[in-house]
Amino acid sequence: MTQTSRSPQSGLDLERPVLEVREVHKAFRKRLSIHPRVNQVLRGVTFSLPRASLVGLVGENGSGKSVLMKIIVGLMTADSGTVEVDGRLGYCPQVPLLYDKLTCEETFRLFGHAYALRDEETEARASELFELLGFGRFRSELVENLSGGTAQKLNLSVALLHKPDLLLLDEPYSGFDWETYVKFWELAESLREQRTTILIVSHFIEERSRFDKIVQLRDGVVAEDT
Amino acid sequence: MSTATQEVIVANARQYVREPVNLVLLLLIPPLFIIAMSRAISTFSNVIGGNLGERAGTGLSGLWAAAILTGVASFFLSLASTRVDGRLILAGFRPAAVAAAHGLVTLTIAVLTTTVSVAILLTTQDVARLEALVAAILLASLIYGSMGSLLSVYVRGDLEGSFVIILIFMLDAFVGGPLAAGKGVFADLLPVHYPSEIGVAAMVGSPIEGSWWLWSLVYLGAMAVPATVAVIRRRPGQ
Repeated sequence: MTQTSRSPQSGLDLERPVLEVREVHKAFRKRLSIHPRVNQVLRGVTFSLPRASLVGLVGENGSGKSVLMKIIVGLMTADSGTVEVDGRLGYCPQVPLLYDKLTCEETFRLFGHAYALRDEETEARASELFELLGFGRFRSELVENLSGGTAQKLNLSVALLHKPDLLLLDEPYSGFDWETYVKFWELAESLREQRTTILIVSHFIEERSRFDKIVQLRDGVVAEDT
Repeated sequence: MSTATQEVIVANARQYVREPVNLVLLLLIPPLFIIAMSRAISTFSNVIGGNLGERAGTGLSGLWAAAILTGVASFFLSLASTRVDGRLILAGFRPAAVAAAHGLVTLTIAVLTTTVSVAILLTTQDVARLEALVAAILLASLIYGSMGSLLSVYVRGDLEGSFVIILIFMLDAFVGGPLAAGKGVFADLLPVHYPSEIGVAAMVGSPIEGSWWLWSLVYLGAMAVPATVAVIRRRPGQ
């Protein structure tokens, strides 16, 4: 049984881990097949993430990292184990999931309502993110007219709009040009300074020295937690 | 209604209005069906066993135009928003608010297509019972609108979905409706069988059975409820 609890930002215990994953198991069963079989994807994954850290969750294809990420985000339930998120969660999917007929500003406004932000807060934060990621000149452009890289910047900005305590990034580099890649790391470091924990889920990690911690999944268990 | 729900409604309405093809179809399909096809429908009806007059045929073509336009628009709108809706729900929107927004936008499109169809019908033919005709066309549009939304859950391709809607429409038109005098084996089960009966009766002034309204509403519920549940259960990974 999985319990994902999210407490409001105020009143957080800053010494407590922002994410605690304990003994998470997940299996997929093929019931309708002629040869019913169970594919045990996660076999008791346990790790925790401290606040203000930059963490890589890595593993080869089939290692279970995508399933684990879905369980952390709340898209999937585990068969057993617990997941606790202490604070606000931001999720940036690999592919931009945005309404294509809205402008960037309208997209921010829409997600601002979803995060229960006041209009002034959304506007201020959107301006900050436009400036930070350098796509302010596209603020009135429809999402469908944005290049892949700019759409990815908006995708990331939407996940950052409510200043999450834990930011989950699924394969974030895809679609980034070099300039955006550099800006991304600047942003990641600045977020860490503001006590945000960033969990980057990827099949490979470049520049390991940038990370505070690497959680390596292999065959459904944590093979390395450094 | 909360401002959050209003924001999702506005976002979905923008998705519809900012697609020029939707507006072109809205202005093109009803006149094409009503003006160009109505006489042919009457003749064709006699060939396949029905006995539809020109006036009834015109009314039926107006109903079809509104229904198929709403169905196609709703399908594309739902298909485009499925995964985004999931992200919005994950970000904090109540699933019911997202579902309500979709329902209201589908209703608005149905009202729009019904208005255009009825307006063109009124310029071409006399209508015996206007209120009943409007209600029948609106019901048919809402049934197809809900069907389009529901279909987007199971059919993920633009082309495939369009084919399915056209296939259902063809069955509706040639088997289920008054065109063939509803003589098909499963005629009563087809989506707009009863709204079509009401629409034709409203055009020519023949009696309308109470059960036709009831079955139309039952069919609408059978489409709208699972479509709403599907929206409520949306998540980005789907």
